[in-house]
Amino acid sequence: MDGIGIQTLDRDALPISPGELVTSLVLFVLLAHAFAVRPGLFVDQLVGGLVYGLILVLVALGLSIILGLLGVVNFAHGAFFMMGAYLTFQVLTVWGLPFWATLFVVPVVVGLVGIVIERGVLQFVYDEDPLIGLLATFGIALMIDEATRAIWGGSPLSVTTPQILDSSIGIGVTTIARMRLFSVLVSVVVIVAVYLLIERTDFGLSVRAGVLDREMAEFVGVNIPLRFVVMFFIGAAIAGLGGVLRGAELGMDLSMGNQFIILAFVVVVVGGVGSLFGSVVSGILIGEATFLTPLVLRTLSETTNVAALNVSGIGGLMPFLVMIVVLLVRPRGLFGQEGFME
Amino acid sequence: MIAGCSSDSDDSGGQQTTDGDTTDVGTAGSSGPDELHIGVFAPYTGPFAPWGSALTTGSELAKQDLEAEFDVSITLSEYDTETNPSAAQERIQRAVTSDGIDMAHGGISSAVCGSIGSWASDNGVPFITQGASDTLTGESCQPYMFRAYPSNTMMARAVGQPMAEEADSWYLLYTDYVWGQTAQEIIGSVLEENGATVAGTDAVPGPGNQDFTQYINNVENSDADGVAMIIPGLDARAAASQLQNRGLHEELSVMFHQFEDQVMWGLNQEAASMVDLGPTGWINTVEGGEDFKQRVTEQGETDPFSRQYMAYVSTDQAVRAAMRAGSANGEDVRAALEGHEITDSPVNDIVPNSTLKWRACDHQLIQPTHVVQARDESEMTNDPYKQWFEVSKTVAGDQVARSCEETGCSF
Repeated sequence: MDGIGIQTLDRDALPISPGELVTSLVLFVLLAHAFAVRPGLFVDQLVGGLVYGLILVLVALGLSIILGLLGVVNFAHGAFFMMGAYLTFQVLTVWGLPFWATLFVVPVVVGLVGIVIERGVLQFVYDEDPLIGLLATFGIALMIDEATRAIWGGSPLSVTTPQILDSSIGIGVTTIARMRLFSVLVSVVVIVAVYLLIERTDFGLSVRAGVLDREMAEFVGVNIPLRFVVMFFIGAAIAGLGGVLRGAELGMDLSMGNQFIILAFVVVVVGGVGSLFGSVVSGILIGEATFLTPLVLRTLSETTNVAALNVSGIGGLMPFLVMIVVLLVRPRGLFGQEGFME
Repeated sequence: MIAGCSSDSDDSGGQQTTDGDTTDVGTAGSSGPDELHIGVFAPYTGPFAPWGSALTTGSELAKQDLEAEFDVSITLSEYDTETNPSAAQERIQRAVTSDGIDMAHGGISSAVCGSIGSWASDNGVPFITQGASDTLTGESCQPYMFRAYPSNTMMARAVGQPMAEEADSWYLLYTDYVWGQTAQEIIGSVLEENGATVAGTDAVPGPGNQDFTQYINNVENSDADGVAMIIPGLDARAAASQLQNRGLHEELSVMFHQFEDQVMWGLNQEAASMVDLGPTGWINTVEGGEDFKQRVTEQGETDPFSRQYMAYVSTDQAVRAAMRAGSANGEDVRAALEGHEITDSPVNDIVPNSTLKWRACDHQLIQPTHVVQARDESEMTNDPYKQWFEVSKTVAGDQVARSCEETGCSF
């Protein structure tokens, strides 16, 4: 399949070699050691990595949908994410609506902006060289960045979350902020909803049919342009929702779009271009690698007294190290189709 | 030499005191240049952008005062350094070779300041910087670069003893670039000299980082009683916000290195009250200078903080040095500033009863360094300008500055 799809794990696709088995065991031992030495911190970082990873998934999901479905490398997708965060500020602080309203209002607004961009620009480049689509979306991203700066200013902003999400929940070895658990919950709901929409509905079936053979689908009466518009709306709205969650927890700034679009591309490549399931696994993998690797190395350094093991700034490198390793071992990505990148 | 193209040049120089120092002789009608073109280098975009307008405001106020006092016309030009040393070097090059500036001041990031200072000195352009890294007046010192802001060491030594009294063990979070790295090393050693311990350190990405989750996790799970936030600008604001969201500001003592009120003004007063300690060159509750603070508020349309003051000092001192020297030539301005004690300038009204002197051996302005703390929320005021913090300790500059031998600068 050329487009989006959710593949299940199959032993032929991912055979476990002795080398992979040893690698898995070493990783397990290292993680177990880190947990034994610093259990509270381990759980904190585990949850931090999960939240970070799921936000990455929300951005990468839309990116993957649009790439798989429309064949457009949408560089403006990070700007949708940033727009979601700034609209959260607008809805909460400027308009004074409750936080819960942002979860619906913001994705809809971002999705509508996505439709305007799709109808106004992208529909004209679907059949062109992919480079044209990439340049067009890059230009759109710059315009959204500058519009954001003009409307909300260049300084980072933050919002106040509802009191019910402010406190923490104790889980024995540590406490976890409710806002973080809420982010996990919303992300999981969205991922499941997207899966059900694409795999279990007639609408999803017709979208997949259009991706496989657009001409035949249109011949049997499927309105493909309408479906593409709807999927673009969904992709942009999910990125906007990711911006809401991120903005509510950590605030918003002008660099967040560019920062996340690069990482989202890494997630899509690692997961396998066109595979939503791959994006989910890859996002969580990269999130956890970013948060847990520094802890694993630090505890190893403490146990062995080898200071050099505690590598400063290793967390920020992990998405790219993971990508390098995955592409060396499996150029198509974890769940990508054979031949796409090899 | 490129600099000083538009300046008159004579050999009048500064008035020498008997011990070799110079004092201000700035009086109307002195034989200095008729025109001066000064480049203000600051981040007008990016994570430090709010700092840029503060430098402009301070420079504009100094320009007004200098033009009223001297028979000189001053042109100020802004150059956006972002937080990028390469961009900054391109800007200073253009400013000098194309726009013809005579002198320069500004810079926030130490890496940017080093880049500007190096090029400026190679081309004979006087430059007064606001970067705080020790290297700028240490191993990377430059013949025509001077520093108006207290160095990392001055601030660390000022706050070291209060930190040790505040908490026994500290976790140091520092931004992983030259300013953060050097500050972290100095604060760590100063803490140990004062009997406290360092429970852990973490290098955080930046400037421009807004997510401190995993580092705050480390702090929360350490044995530290306090956390030192060696994080600049708006990054520090984000870190403070996240510290508050986790409730750690109630459990830990919090120190913000190179404290600037502007960082906290973007948060609410409850968040601002987390500041237990913070060393700084100036805040608006330092006694004196009410007229200056009022002018910043009215003309800059913002609340006064250290950067307007430092920009005022930089512009004032650069121009006065040129007037004393009769030239904006790098060598002449250097001679006029080295060893010069500020005694007859509006700067003395802004910080009365303080000794301010340009040290010849490393070009550091030796000046009082303050340690501040948050006021109780009920005592924080917003009118006529925000006054949320107060000075808890002031140390004379020569008590906390490195000795000339320690600096590694070989002037």
